[in-house]
Parts: sequence; C-alpha cells; structure tokens
Amino acid sequence: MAEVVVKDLVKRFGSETLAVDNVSFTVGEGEFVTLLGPSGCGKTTTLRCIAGLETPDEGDILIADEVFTSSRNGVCLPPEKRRLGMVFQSYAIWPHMSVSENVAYGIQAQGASRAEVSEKVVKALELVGLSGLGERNATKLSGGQQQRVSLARALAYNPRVLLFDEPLSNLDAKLRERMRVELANLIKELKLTAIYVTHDQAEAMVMSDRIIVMKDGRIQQEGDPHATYNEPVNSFVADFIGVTNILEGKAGERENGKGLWVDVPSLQSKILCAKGIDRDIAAGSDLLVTVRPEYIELGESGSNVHNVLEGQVSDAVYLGQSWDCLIQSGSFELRVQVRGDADIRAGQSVTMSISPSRCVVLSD
Amino acid sequence: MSSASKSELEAGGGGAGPAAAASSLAGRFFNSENSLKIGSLGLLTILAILPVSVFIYSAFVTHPEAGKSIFTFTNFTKTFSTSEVLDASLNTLIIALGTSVFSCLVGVSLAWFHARTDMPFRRTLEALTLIPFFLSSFLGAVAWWALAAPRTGILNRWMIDLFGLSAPPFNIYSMTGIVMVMALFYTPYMYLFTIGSLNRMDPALEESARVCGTGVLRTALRVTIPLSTPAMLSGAVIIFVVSMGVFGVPSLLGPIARISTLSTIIYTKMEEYPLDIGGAAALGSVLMVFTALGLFIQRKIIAPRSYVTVTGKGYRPSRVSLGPWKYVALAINCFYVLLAVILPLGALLLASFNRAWLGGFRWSQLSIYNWAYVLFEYEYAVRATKNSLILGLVGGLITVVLCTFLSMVILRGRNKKLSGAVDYLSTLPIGVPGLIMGMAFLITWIKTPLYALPMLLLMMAYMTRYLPYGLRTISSVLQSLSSELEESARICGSSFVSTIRKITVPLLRPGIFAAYLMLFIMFIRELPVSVLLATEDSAPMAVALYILQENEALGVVAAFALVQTALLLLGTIVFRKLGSLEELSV
Ligand SMILES: Nc1ncnc2c1ncn2[C@@H]1O[C@H](COP(=O)(O)OP(=O)(O)OP(=O)(O)O)[C@@H](O)[C@H]1O
Ligand SMILES: [Mg+2]
Repeated sequence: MAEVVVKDLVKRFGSETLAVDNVSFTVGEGEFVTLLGPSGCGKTTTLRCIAGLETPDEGDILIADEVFTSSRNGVCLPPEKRRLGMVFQSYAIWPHMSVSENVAYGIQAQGASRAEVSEKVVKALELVGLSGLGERNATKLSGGQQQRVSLARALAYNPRVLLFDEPLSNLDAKLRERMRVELANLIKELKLTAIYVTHDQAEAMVMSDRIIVMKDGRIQQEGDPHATYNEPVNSFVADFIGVTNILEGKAGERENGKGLWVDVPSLQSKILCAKGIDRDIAAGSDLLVTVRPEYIELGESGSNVHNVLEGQVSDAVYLGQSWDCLIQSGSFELRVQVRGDADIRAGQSVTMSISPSRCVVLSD
Repeated sequence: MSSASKSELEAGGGGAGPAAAASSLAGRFFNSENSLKIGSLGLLTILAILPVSVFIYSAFVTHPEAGKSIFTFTNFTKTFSTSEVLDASLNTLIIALGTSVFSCLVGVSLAWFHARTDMPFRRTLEALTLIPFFLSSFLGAVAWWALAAPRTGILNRWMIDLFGLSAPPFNIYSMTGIVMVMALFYTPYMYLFTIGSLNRMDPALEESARVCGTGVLRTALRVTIPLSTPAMLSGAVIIFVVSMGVFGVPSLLGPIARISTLSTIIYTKMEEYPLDIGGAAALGSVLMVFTALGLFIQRKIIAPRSYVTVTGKGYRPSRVSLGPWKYVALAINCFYVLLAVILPLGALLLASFNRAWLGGFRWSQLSIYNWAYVLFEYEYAVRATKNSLILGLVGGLITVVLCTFLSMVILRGRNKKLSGAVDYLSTLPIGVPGLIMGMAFLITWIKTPLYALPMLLLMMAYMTRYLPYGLRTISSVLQSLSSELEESARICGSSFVSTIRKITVPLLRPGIFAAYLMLFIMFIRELPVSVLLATEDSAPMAVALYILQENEALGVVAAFALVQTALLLLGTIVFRKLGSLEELSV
C-alpha cells in the first residue's frame, strides 16, 4: 500500500536558491529508491519535503493515496501525522535517553501499551543486532552502533516508508561497505519501502532497486542500477557514475538494425553506436558519445568488426586486479581498463575494439 | 494512486482524506506553531513595545493645562538649551569614553596574560579578577566612597596618619573617581569579551610570526591583538553605551563635586519638584538613540568582521614565555585585584564590624551589631532583602521560563518570518538603559491597577529589561543542539509541543539552569530599573543601599552592602561550577 508519489515538487530558499526544481517520481511498494547526486543538488531537501520537515513551494506529495502535501489545496501535514521513519546522517540519537528509550519513543507516540512498547523495542533491537544493549547510554556507543540505534528507532513503529539521509557517510570505509549490504538485506527482508539519499554512487549501485540521479535540483535520469550505469542519458550522469570517456562527434548514417555511425574527428575514425539512438538525430548534428574504460578491449576479436582503433599506451598504472591505462589514439587519450594479468608497458602500440552496444550516444 | 484521489487533487478541492481537511489553508497558518509565535509577539508588545512607545510619546507632548496635550518639540528644545544639560551631556561622554578606554586597556592586558602567557598563579587570579563582574559598579562606588571620601575615607585617614600629610590625598568625589570606579568594574566585561577569541586562536598564527623573526611583544601587538580587535572593539562599544546609561556611580559620587550626567538629571526631573516628565523623556530618548546606535554599530558592523581563527584541534594553545616580565604581569594583575576586590571588600568588612566608625578600625569597637541590625532589626533593610530574594528567585524563574519558550519559538519551527520578528522584539530591550526602562514602566502603568502591585510591576520591568541576556544564554545552547534531534521526534509521531517537553527541554537543562543563576545575580544587584519604579515597601536591596548610604552610619551601610555581596557571590559560586562565563558578556 505504500506508494509514494512526488509530483512537480519545487522548493526555494529565499529568492536566490532553487533547491528543488520540478521533481516528480514515484516509489512503488517494497521498492528501494535512491536519490543520487553531488553535494547541494537538492537530495536532502526533497527528502525533507517528503518527511514534512520543509514545506514545498509547489507540488504534491501523496503516500498510499493520502495527500501529505499539496500546494494547491494548501495541505501540508505536519511530520508527526505522516507515520514515516527517518534516519539522519548525524543519527540524531537523543543523548538524555538510553538506547531503549530512544527506540521506544516513536512507539509510545503511537499510543501503544507498555507491554507492546517493550516487546517492540526488543524486537527492533534484535533486528539491528543490538540485543542486550538496551540499557546503555546511547551516546556512549560506537558510531556503527549509534547508526543501528537510529535505524531501530525508525523501524520500531512500522512506518509506512523509511527515509534515509546519507546514513552511512559517517562510518569508516570497511564498516560502510558491510552496512550497505546488511541494511539493504534487512529492508528487503522486512518488505519495507525506502527512499535513500546518498552522493556515493557505489552505495547507490549496491543497494537500490532504482536510482534517481539529480543535479541542480532537477532529475537527470531514473532507472535501475544496470541501466543507469550502462546507458547514461547525458554526460553528467555518465561522468558522475563511474569513470568514462566522452567523445565529441558528428552524427552520420544509420545502419539498419545495428546502430548509428558517428564521426569522431579526435580519434580520426568512425564509431558505430547502438545505444541512446532511439530518438531523432539529424545527420551532421554535433553529439557526445560515452564509452566506459572497461568495455574497451585490447586486441581484435572476431565479433567486433566495427570500432577498431589503433593506439599507443602513454601511461599504465597497475591496480592489482586491473591496469588503468591511458592510450593515445589520434589526438585523444582514451582511458582503458585492462585485466591485471595482461602485459602492458608504456610506449607499446596496441589495437583496441569496442562493441557498438557499449557506445552510448548522450542527449547533450 | 487511486483515480478518485487524483481527480480530487486536480480539481483543487480540499478534503482528500480527513487529515487533509484538518489542515486547510487557514488551519495551516493558525497551527500550534504559528499561534505560539503570534502569542509571543503579543506578549513582547505588551512587555516592551508598549512602555517604550508611551515613553517616546511623552517626550513629544506637553500638557499646558490639565486634560489637554499637544504635540511639540519644546521638551527637547527647552531641555537641551540649559547649560546644566549640556554640561551633563559632556560629562556623560567623558565618563563613557574614560570607562571604555581604561577597562579596555586593563581588560585586554589581563586577558592576554591569562590566555597566552606563562604568568604564574593564573587560575587563582582569574577567579579574583572576575569577582567584580558579579558585583555591581554601584557596590563598588559605595565601597570606594568608604575608602576615599575626602574627610572620612579610610585610605585618606591611613595616608594622613602614616605619612603625616596635611590634606587627604584622594578625592573620590571627582571625575577621576567616577571613571576609576566604573573602569574597575567594567574591566572584567572586557576581559570576558577578549579571552574567548584569545583562547581559541590557532597557535600556528602566532608561531608563524615567531618563526618569521618577531619577538614576544611584537607578535602580541602585530598578530595576536589585531586578530582579536573585532572582539575588543565590540566590548569597548558595548561598555561605552552601557556606561552612558549608568546611574548608580555618578549619582553617588557626582553631586558633591557638582558632576551630573544625563541619567542623574533624568532621575532628578522624575523625583524632585518641579516634576518634568516631558524633559526627562526627551533626555531619555536621546540617550536611548545613542545606546541603540552604538549597539547597532557593534552588531552589524563590528561583530561580523571577527576573524575565524579557530582550529579544530582539541588541545590548548602553547603559551608565550615572558621571562622575568611575567612578574611585571603578575604585579599588574595583583594591583588590579587590590583596587577592585581587596580594598573595597576589605574596607566594607572592617567598617561593618565596628559599631561606631571613627575613621579607622578599632579592636575596642569590634561588634556584630551592624550585621545583626541589618539582618534582623532594621525593618526597611530586612524587607529589602526579602524583596530582592523574591525578585531574584521568583522573577528569575518566570523570566527563565519565558526565555526558554522564546528561544524555541525563535530557533525552531518552520515559519522563519515570524521567528525573525520574535527575535527582533525580544532583543530590543538591550537598547533601553535600565533607568529609562524603569521610567517607561512607571509612566505607562502608574494610572492602572497594576501600580497597586509594585512587586509585580518590578518583576515585569526586570523581565523585560533582562530578557535578551537570558535568551542569549539559552539560545546558544539550543543552537548547538542539532535540530535533527527534534525532527526525528516529530517524524516518530510526537507533536511540536510534546517534542519540546520530552526532547528539547531535557537537553537544554544545563543552559536553563545557567541562565536562571545569571538572572538571579542580575536581579539581586539591580538598581537602575528599580530606582524610579520601586515604592518604599517594594524597594529591593540596591535601592535600599542607595537610601541607606544617604541616611545611615557607615557601619550599617557596609554591613548591608556585604549582605548583598554575599548573595551575589553565593550565586556566582554555584554559577561557576556550571562553566562558561563568556556567554554572559552580551
Ligand atoms: N535551510 C536552508 N536555507 C537555505 N538554503 C538551503 C537550506 N537547505 C538547503 N539549502 C540549499 O539548497 C540546496 C540543496 O541543498 P540540499 O541540502 O538538499 O543538498 P544535498 O543534495 O542534500 O547536498 P549534500 O550531499 O551536500 O547533503 C543547496 O544549494 C543548499 O545550499
Ligand atoms: Mg544532504
């Protein structure tokens, strides 16, 4: 029943800052959706509008068909009436309460009986792996444990939707990676609907069913992690998620069923692109093509009769499982990722090939 | 989403669910948060805006005959054309300037010694240096009157006896005397203003100057002091405007030397025949304008220019080694403590334990008569002590509750415009000198039933005058609490009010307690607001001391002054256990 609908959301701070600019999306029941974007792109503001902590200037927010916010009707439900759960970046653990008291707070606010409260507290602490720590002073816990308390507090009263604002960004790298998986699994297990804010693309990839990429208050792309990574719609998304090569070119002819030829002067070559060409592209128009470093293969394989390039290795850094190389081809320096067991030396001449299905035409 | 609710939404009709209906447009503005904010605005209007408006209004009207009033500037022209007022204006400026210059010199040096150098006995001396901050300049004036009045002053007697002088060497009834007492008692304010920025300064800023080859003193003068200049200027400007409005010191030490200031003239016009309310209000308005102007300059021009020199490092900065000069620093500090603490309190102590004071302490006269008299027998003094305790304990409590409430209204919630308005109104009383606040309350409420309850009226006036101070202490604690702590409670389902009760207030408790003690101290020593407003029965301690000083023997005055001092020091000791003093300097 938890279907979140955000429609035409606009939020300004003062007259200058347009923090959220016409954002619309939906989140289905049991879905894990991530808002991803660089610092200041309006992720937190969007999340706070959903929570009712900010009043949007325009737009509607509905959850399970109930209107939470509607600028036209002048409706803006206060946060306590929304029955959502939220985990803050700072955890926002109340220092004057013990762990159990922190977790119990939301359940008590729903008017539950004493027995019910303590039962739910125990259950919530168990879920996050903190059984037995209930009587501790919450601020005396480690960062990771505080994080779990904060999660337990948000889970404990069966909220309709869980909101996360960069909950893992204060943890150290190792713990962060472990918590990603653990958190995502827990939410799937409990069949919860979640909206998750982060600027860490790896986190978004690992955890989400769907990623919404934002920039300057606007949605750039929406899709599952696979599609977002492999078929970015514009150079911002391509560049923000992972590492990529962006080539400038001119549209050529279409080859039936196979793709669009793009003339790339800097490579002194034509490239056949099979992705991002569903729209009308006038022949001769300027466009951008993106190719991920790991999709550029060394050597000439039989299937890739198109997109074969010659080049010279200008730099190669060994990273263990792979080589991170810069290969000069024409006047362009391509970034190429090569398997770690390959034999690569700077100065070496190589032949590269790229499958057309890995060449994506961008919309800007 | 179901098509039903969708169409309702698009049609723009309200009532997409019961919850939505409850918060329609009107409901949205008059929700609990906005009603609280509007209520606070109303309360502040009655407390602060109304009296000050009546006061300003009365500066612009005259009453040629009973029941008739006309709008005019004559109050200003008439008042400011007398040479008496022109002299007083000049005196006021001299006193304010002298006080801020001297307290700045001494206060900054002492702060530097304490924060940055290896002067010995820093801890003990810091506690002693700050004692005057908790007493009042009026108590200081009473004590220095006992020390250095030309004929009866203890110091003068000693000097005559010791060196066989023919004339008393000190005369506290002089401009020098007034400025000295004021500067002694405002030095700790300056100290507190600067010590924070000195304490927190990144030592690398100084160390790099040293590495570049400058010596200790040059580094202090070229790097350390300039970096704290905004903080010092802030302090100097505030001390300037505060001392412009000070009433107690000049009214005690001025008359014999025929030195009057704007505040003593206002008092005379309000208390002595022929009453001249219009003239007093005109003078007061001018004083108020200068005060407000000074504070405006401090807040909008000086304070924003403070340098950010803070490091994230937790350790205390390394200290400058003064070599043999550290004993010079020690001597300067000890001399200050001698003048500001030991001599005044010592003189009062000696005088209070002699039944009859004959110009010097005599063991034969040793007696606790004065103490017993002011504590138990002398009805007026006993009542004044009781009044001050009631004002301090009850008034302080009510004020701190109001401050807590207002700080939340200002810093929390979603309607920033209303918050801004509340903030603005509640800071306004800072620009109104105490004497003027008292006068404004007097002329506003004198013809109402409220005047029959003088203690209540005093409490309201205190509350209004000192609101900004309490607010500041609590707000600074509230500001340091992440608002996410409250937001997560809201999301968990608790309302604005119950979040305040269960989350905010418990977290604020240390700040609330500190503010309460501070207000207690301020209320116990309060003179300027009360001096016009208090009646014989409702006189608090400072007013009683003012009256006693004119009519009673030195021993009685000294004992009573020490009772007040003891209460203030008691409050101070409890307060100091709670920590940060810096927040108290406005
Ligand atoms: N309370 C506020 N007042 C004024 N401007 C604000 C406020 N909150 C956010 N902004 C501005 O709105 C924009 C979006 O901010 P937001 O916090 O949503 O970014 P974000 O995507 O969460 O960034 P980050 O990853 O750094 O947390 C920013 O330009 C920010 O400066
Ligand atoms: Mg954010």
